Amino acid sequence: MMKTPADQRTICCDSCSLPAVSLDPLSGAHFCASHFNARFEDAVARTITESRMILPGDRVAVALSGGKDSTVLAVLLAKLHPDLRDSGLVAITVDEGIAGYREETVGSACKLCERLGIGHLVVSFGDRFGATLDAMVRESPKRACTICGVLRRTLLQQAAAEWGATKVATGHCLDDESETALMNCLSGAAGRISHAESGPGAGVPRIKPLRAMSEKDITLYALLNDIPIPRAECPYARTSLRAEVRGMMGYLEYRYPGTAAKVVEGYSGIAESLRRHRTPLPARRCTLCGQPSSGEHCQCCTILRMVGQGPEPGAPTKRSGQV
Amino acid sequence: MICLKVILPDGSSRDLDVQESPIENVLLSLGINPAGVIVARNGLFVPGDSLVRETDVLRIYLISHGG
Repeated sequence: MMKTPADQRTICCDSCSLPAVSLDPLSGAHFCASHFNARFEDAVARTITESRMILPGDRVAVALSGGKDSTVLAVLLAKLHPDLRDSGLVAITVDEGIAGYREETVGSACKLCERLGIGHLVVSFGDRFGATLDAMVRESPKRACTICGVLRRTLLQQAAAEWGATKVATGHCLDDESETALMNCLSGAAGRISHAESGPGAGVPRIKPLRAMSEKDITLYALLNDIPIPRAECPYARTSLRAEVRGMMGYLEYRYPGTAAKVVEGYSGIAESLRRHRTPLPARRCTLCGQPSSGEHCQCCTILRMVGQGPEPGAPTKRSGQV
Repeated sequence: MICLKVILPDGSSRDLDVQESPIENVLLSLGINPAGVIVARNGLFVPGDSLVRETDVLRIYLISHGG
């Protein structure tokens, strides 16, 4: 029997007669909660399958900050790949040491892993590098995102490798990818554009199952499915170039729906073309820590020296939970 | 006077004197990018092209970045 919404203003789902919760600005289609969820999950599953992100036998480490993107990612991987749950899926949370912000998101990550029944590793800048991010940037907060990005990536890779991961899944979404593309173009560094994230020397390969999903859809998915998402934003984020680029992209996406996807598509083509014409650099290792590096020192050691923290390889990873 | 009640992402609220109007227009009048928020009308999530009227309560959820 056809259901009729009580409120005459209610817009109905294009696929059924239930009230719509979402509008796809590109197609003009409306979706109820049920069809929105199904469409969202199908899109993520398709991204994973088409790019062969997860293969039989893989051990996947999810980079779980406790924010909305990584939280939704962990929930979806547990749902879409139940075969991983026994011993093939673990969450890794990096505690950078950001007072007033990280406590809530780390706590949220711990609760989520308990709920999902997956293992959880918590690693911290303080334990591994000898100082919190707050301490490292006390004199110059504007460098926070640069420092944090490099050190977090390094720590995540180390913890994933120690656990025996074959893939590291990150919650990067369409908005993140388009912002990164634009930022790399703004920096004018062709080397950064052609830089491959995976391949020899790049550590455990990274996968981004949410790369085609917008932050708006990820947030709506979380809200519709009672997935807890902390509201706090990193206090350093607003000082970054990314914050300004995000504002620009947000405006363009509103005025010209589909802009973010077009930026990512075009950027990927340019990057691939640059890679084909690039002369491969000789394989080198950091003279301080021995990790693969494009120069004498890797980015991590360079940053640690800059903030007065010498590289201390081999410190034990602090573990919690059921691993 | 009956007004549309808008609950902003920070929890504060505004009363707006509006006739029946698309949510998108209400957001723009508040200086909010419609692409950057999710809205609930009278407790139910609705698409941005839905209409609101003066007896409604509109709650705006800001899309937090990162994570």
